[in-house]
Amino acid sequence: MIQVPFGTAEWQSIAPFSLVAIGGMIALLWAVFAEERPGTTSVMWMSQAGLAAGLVATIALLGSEKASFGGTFALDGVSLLANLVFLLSASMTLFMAQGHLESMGVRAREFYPLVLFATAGMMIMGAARDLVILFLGIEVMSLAAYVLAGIHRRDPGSTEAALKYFVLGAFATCFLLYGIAAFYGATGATSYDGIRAGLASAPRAALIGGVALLVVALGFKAAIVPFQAWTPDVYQGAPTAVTALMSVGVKAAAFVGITRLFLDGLGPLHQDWQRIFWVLAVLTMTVGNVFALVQGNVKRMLAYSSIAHAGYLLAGVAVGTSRAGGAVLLYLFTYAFMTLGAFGVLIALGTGEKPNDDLDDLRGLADRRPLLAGAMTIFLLSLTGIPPLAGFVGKFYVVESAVNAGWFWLAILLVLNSAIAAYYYLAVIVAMWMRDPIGDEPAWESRPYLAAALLAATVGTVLVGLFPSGTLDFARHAFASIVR
Amino acid sequence: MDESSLALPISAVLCAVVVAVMVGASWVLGKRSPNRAKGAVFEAGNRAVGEVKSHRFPVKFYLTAILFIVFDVEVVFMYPWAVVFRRLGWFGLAEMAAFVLVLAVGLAYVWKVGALEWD
Repeated sequence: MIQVPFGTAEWQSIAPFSLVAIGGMIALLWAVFAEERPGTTSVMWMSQAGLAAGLVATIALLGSEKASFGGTFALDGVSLLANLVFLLSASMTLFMAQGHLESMGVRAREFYPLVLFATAGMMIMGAARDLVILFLGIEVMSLAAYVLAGIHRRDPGSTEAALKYFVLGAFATCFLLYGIAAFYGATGATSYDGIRAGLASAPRAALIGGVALLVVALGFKAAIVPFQAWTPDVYQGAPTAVTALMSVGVKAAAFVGITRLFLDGLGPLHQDWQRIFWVLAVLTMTVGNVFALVQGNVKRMLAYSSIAHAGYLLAGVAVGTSRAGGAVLLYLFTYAFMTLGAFGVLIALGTGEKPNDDLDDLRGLADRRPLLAGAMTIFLLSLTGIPPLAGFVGKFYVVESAVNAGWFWLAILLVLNSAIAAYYYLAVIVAMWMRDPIGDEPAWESRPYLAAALLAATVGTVLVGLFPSGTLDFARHAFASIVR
Repeated sequence: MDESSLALPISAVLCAVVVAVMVGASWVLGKRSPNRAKGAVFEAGNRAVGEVKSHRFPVKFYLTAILFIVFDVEVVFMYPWAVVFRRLGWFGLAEMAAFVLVLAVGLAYVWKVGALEWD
């Protein structure tokens, strides 16, 4: 008789993502079996219920520290805080998509369950303490994300986005599997505990090769230079609500996966990967910012800006202390609110005929829709890193942890890059408030769910900026037990 | 480096050498006589008819093939389970029930959206 350990810890650790996945399956069946007129919101609300169930389980478990499945699946502060980021961003994505997809002519109500499946994958990634489980999470998330990118089937841009994302994503998966194989060959284990134990006696060439392969694979998911080439086209081609989910949820999941893998499982190799991440972080933030400078399309500009933010996050990973890990987690929290908000404003600007997301379309927005322009201003100032908004505290604690660990050049380059970024964020604000509008006012639709999501994003951006200490202490404490 | 870690590079080198020799030898030794018939478009032995762009071929079989592969691959997981069924006991049965339930949800979905119908 084979005894499989399956007790309270196992149930508790899988409960959050299982509830989301089950909610997704129920919503999927409901979407096809309930004969309904288009425009109804029942599938959206059922999907929200699935996310809410995951949220309740996550909040109920806050404070637990347990290892399950022989230490390969974590139930700790990092996975729970990451769950909050994933669930909040998925929930806001669903609200923002309501009405937006219909106006573009997307009838597929599978959108909502697919977001839930992607979220379940992210939650698996956030808790994975075994390379195979990390792989499982990445695939569950990515397969849903590929379909979501192409959900606007009649639009060539959306189809192009899906195809590029899928082909390159499948390629990145190969790197991940080769990396896992290298570590399994070198250490005889795929679990982080097993790898740590086997590092000392492993051949060095295999370890360096394995680290390189894993950096490529995870760097692709997180859109790190030089693995970012797909990002602008995919982000621009996909429907904006999907872009919001990809640039927040998928990126956050990749970073939680990277942080846990390198700080925990490969912690003893830090002298090898820290230098790689140092270079990649500076490259990523610089390339993202320089390319964002010249974009005339705000959606594409935000895509490059998300690459730049990946650079700031990677700087935190490179520092590699538990303080830095906490700062990265706080950054993801702040980044979620402001980025979702900025993409939400772009969704609000789109009409059935035209996306209206060029910089020229935003000219004079303050005259036409002052509340929307005000919200966008808050998100953009926060992305720039102006206190007292959320983006400032995120960046501040990454810089603080870098200086604290003696990485002065990294901190200086990060601050210089933020100054470059101010130019293109402020250009949008100038266009909205100081320029005259071009052309007739588009026939904007009123979308109450989108308005609610934007309000939530605004409140989140301001509140996390004003009171970051609770989240920060929680995140630092969560990493204290991981970084050994 | 001990012997076991040398085995992999040695076999990699041998693979490359064997492939290079086989491809290279046939390239050097083989006769080539290019003619028009060889350069023509090959379409299942028939003469090519018209442009592809002018009319579209129905590719209904692709959906059937994809669905077949999906469910076929999933069933592969049942074989190892069947082998250790007695030793896994009730836990294994419950796990497989959950797995099949997820598959059933997928099947119900493809059935309802009409992916199983030919026309």
